Amino acid sequence: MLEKLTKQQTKLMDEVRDEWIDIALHKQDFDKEEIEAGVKWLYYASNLKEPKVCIVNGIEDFTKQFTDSVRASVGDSVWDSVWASVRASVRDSVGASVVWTCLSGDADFGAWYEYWKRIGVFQNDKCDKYVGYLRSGAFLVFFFEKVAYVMVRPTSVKQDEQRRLHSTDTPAMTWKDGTELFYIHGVKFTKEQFQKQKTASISDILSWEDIDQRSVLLRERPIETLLENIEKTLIDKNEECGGYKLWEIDLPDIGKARIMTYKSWSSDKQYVKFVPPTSKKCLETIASLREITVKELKNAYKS
Amino acid sequence: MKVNLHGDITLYPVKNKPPKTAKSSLRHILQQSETTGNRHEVISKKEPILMWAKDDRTFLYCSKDYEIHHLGGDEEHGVQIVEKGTRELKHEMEHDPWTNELRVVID
Repeated sequence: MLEKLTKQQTKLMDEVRDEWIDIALHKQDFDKEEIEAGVKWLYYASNLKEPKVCIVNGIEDFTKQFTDSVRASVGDSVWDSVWASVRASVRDSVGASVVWTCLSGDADFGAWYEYWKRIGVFQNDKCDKYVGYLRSGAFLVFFFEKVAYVMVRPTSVKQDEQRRLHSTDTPAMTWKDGTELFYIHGVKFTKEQFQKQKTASISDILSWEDIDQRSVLLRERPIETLLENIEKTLIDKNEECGGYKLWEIDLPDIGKARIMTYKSWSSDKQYVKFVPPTSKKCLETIASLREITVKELKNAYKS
Repeated sequence: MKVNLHGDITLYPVKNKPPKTAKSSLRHILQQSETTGNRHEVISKKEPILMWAKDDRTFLYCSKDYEIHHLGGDEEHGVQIVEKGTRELKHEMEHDPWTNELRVVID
């Protein structure tokens, strides 16, 4: 029985990890025959009839191909009158048909299995076949009764130092069909929101509607930097419950307003929010915005 | 009973009884961001959680302790135990300087 890993075996863990991250995210080729054979084998192993296998080049290509197949079975008047519900049913069907037997869902299994295999602990023919299918480039799959859609790998993936999807100037993920996905430190943005953040003013950032998006924008432009060049007064500071600062600021497009700066209770994430202009004390303001008492706020923080 | 603060969600203990029309499930999504997909949800392993709305307020009831999770993003709020009983679901508010009104924090 293996009781302790050698230095080489320990080093191999990182190598296999990086290799599979590369396979999942950064290689762009695909083996059509291997993908088709792998999908048909998965159906066979699940006692299902062999499906037609469609290779799609991205999310938009998949949506078009799938919608076209639904469209082909629905007449014009029906299509027009029930478009909303068709879309809902497409969404429901697709949601239920996304499976994990692909690189986006199971690359970790590939790394896990191949590590044990390479150090001679475990080998299994079915696992070899499955890992071969994963290596063929099936990034995301949607399995239906008669047809299986297989999305190939993205053409570009950008990540931050913590390997979260991230880019502030280009899409974080792109596919051959033109699909673009926008993420900053792992938080998703729509294309419109992403374009807006590039030229966002301090007022835009401080009042950004989604607080998670606001928080990642503050990682790129920290609150201290944002507040550097504006007129501000510290109204109150409280170190309890993680620490809060209440500021009065004067913004060119808003005028005088009050904001609260603070860190998440469970991480180092920086947050900021506008608070009512009558706010005077940090904890009273936070408790009031949650409709609880200061005592309840403190007790919740302790627990 | 303790108050659960889970990100911008508060589960506040109250004494309301669930009506017969309450929706019963082992899992309810309490809030989901349309853009980021991040969501808060409550999950019970055995006893169903009842959820209902009355006078623009939302309530939850479970006869056993259950869990509240944050899914998506960094899942930074983690998992908390919610004690059995009835809770009112409250959303943290913030000031909107453009409209000069309070709005629900979207997380």
